[in-house]
Amino acid sequence: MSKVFNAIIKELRLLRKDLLGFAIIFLMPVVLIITITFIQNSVENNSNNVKLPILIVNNDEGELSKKIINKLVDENNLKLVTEYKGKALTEDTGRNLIKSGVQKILIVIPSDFSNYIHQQTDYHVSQLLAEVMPNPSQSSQVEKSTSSLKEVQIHFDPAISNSIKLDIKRAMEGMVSDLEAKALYDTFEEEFEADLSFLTEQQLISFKEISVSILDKNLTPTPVQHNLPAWTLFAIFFIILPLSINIVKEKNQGTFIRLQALPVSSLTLMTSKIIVYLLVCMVQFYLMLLVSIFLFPVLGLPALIVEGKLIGLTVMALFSSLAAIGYGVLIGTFAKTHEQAAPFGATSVVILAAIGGLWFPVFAMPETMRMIAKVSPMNWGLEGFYNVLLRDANFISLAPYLSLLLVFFIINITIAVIYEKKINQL
Amino acid sequence: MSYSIEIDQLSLSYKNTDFKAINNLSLKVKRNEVLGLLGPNGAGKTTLISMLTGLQRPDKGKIFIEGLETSANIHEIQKILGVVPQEYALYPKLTAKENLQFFGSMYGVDRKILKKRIDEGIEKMGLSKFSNKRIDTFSGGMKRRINLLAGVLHEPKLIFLDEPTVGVDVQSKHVIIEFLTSLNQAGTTIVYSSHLLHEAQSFCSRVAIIDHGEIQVEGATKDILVSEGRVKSLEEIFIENTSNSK
Repeated sequence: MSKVFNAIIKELRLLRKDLLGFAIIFLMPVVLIITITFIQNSVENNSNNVKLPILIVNNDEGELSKKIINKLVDENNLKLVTEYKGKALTEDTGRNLIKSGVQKILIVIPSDFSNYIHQQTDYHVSQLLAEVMPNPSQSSQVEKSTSSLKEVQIHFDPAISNSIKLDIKRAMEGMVSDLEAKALYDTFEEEFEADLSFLTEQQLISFKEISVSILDKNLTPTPVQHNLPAWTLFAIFFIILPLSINIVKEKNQGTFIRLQALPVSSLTLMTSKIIVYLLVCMVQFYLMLLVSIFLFPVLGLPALIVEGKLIGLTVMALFSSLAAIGYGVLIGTFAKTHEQAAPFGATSVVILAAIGGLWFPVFAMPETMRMIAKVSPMNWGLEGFYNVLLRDANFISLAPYLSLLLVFFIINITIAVIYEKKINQL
Repeated sequence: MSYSIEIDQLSLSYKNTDFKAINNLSLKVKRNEVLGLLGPNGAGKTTLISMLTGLQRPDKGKIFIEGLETSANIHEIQKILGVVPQEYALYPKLTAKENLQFFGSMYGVDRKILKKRIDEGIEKMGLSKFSNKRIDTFSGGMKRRINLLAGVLHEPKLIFLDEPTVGVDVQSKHVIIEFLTSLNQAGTTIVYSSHLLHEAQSFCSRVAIIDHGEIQVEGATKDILVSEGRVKSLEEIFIENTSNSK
C-alpha cells in the first residue's frame, strides 16, 4: 500500500511541475463548457437578437405576398433585404449575391401571385357550392384560372445548413397554406354573407411542452442541462491524452528500465496513475459543475440546477472517469511513441463522442449507428447523466450504465496488464 | 565457495532469426567481487545484464542469483539487486531528492532510513547544494551520480552497472569510482560493463571479455594481464580477443 502511496506522490509531483499542462487540464474543459453553452444558448433563445438577412424579390403587387413576407420576417427572426446598393433588388443580383456567398437566402415571389391564389380559391369554392347547391341562380359561376401553377423560388447558399433550409421551407409552406385557407374562408364569407372569422382567429387546439421528469417543478430543461452531461463527458474522456502520453513518455525515458527492474508489479504502478488521473477527472468535473452553477448566471446564462442530484452526478462522473482512464492506460500501453498516442487518442475520443450521441441524438441516427452507439462508453455515460439530471432517475436505473462503464474499465486494464507483462517482463 | 551469480549454458536468439545474442554462456561471479563485463558494441553485454536483472527471458539455460533461480524467484531477486542503467533513469522534472525518495520507496525502504541514506548519499556524491534542484538542470556528471545513488538506496547485495562513467568529467568519474569502491568494501558484489578499459583494469578484480554472445577471456584481472611471459594492458588483451582483430 505504501508503494502505491509513494507512486501517487511521484505522479502528483510530476503533474505539479508541469504548470502549463496542469492549467490546460483544468481550464480547458471549463473554457469548453462556457463557450459551447454560451453559443448554444444564444442560438436557441436568440438572446443576442441576431437576425438572419433574407433577400426578397417580390414580383407580385397584391396583398397576399406582402402578408407572407411580413409574417415570415416577424415569426422567424429574419431581416428583410429588398434593396442592394440603394437600388431595388433584382432576381439576377439576388442570385449573384447567393452564388458568391455574400447572402444566404433569396425568395422570389412570382408576378400575379395574389391574383392567382384568389382565382384558385374562388374557383374551388364555386365548384363546391355548385355540388352542394346545384341551382345556378344561388351561386355565381367562376371560370377556372388559366394561368399556370405559380412557383415561389427559394435560393440557398450551398453552405447553409439543411436544418435552416428545412425551417425556411416549412415556414413558407405553412404560411402559404394558412393564406390559402384564409382566402377560402373569405370567399365563403362573401358567398354566404356570414361572419366566419372565428375559424381563422380562434385556435381550436393548443400545445403545451411538458418535461416528464421535472413535472413537479414545472421547469423546462435549459441548454445548460443538456450541455453539461455531453461536454463534461467529452472533457473527462480527453484525459486519455495526457494519461497515454504520460505512459509513453515514461516508457521512452531511461526510467522505464529502472521501473522494470523494481520489485514492484506493473499493476501497482498503474494503480497510482489510475488514482491520480481519477482525482484529476473529478476535480475537472466539480470545476465544471461550479462554473455551471455559479458563473453561468453572472454571464447571463441559465444556472445549472443540481438540487438533490449531486450524488448521482458524482457517481456518474466517477464511473465515466474510470472508463476513460482504462482506455487511456490501454492506449498508453500499446503506443510506442508520443506521435502514436496523441493523434490516436484524440481522434478516437472524437469518434466515440460522435457515435455516443454527444453531438447528434442517437434516436435520430440510422439503425446501424444506433446499434454502434450502444457499445460506446460515452453513450452509457451520457444516458446515465441524462437519467440523473433530466429524468430524475434513481440509482437502480443507473446500475446498467455504471456496470457497463466499470466492465469497460476492467477489460481495458486487464488487457494492458497482460500485454505489459508479456512484452516487458520475465 | 558461495557465488553471487551462477550462469549455466545460457542462450538467447533474437525473435525470428538464428542470430544468437548469447550463445551457451556459462559464468560464475564470487561474492564481493567486482566483475568487469567487457566487449565491443553488439557483443551481448547489455542482453546478458537484461537477463540477469530479469528484464529478458533466456531461451535456454539457467541463472542463479544469490542461490535463487531467476525465473521462479524474480521478485525476491529484484529486492536484492541494484540496477544502474547506462541511460539516465531519472525523472527530469523532479528534484534529485524527489527522484531518490521515489525509487528508494519502491524498494520498500523505511521512510526514516531512506531519508538518512539519501542525505548521506547526496553528501558523498558532493551534491548537497543541489539536492532540491530539478534533474533537468544538472550536468551529465551530476546526473550520473544521482543515477548511481538511485540504484543503491536499498543497499543491494549485487549491483549491475552499465557504463556508469560514460561521458562524465574526471571529477565525477573519480567520485563514482570512489563510491563504488566503498560499496564493494562494505561487501557488495559489482558487475560492471564498460568500454573504458583503463578504468576497468584498475577497478575490477576480475574481467570477462565477451564477443558474439560468448565468453572469450575470463579470469582475475592480474592473471589475464600476464600473457606470453609479459605484462600486457587490458586494451591489448581486448583487441586480441575480439572480432576486430580476428
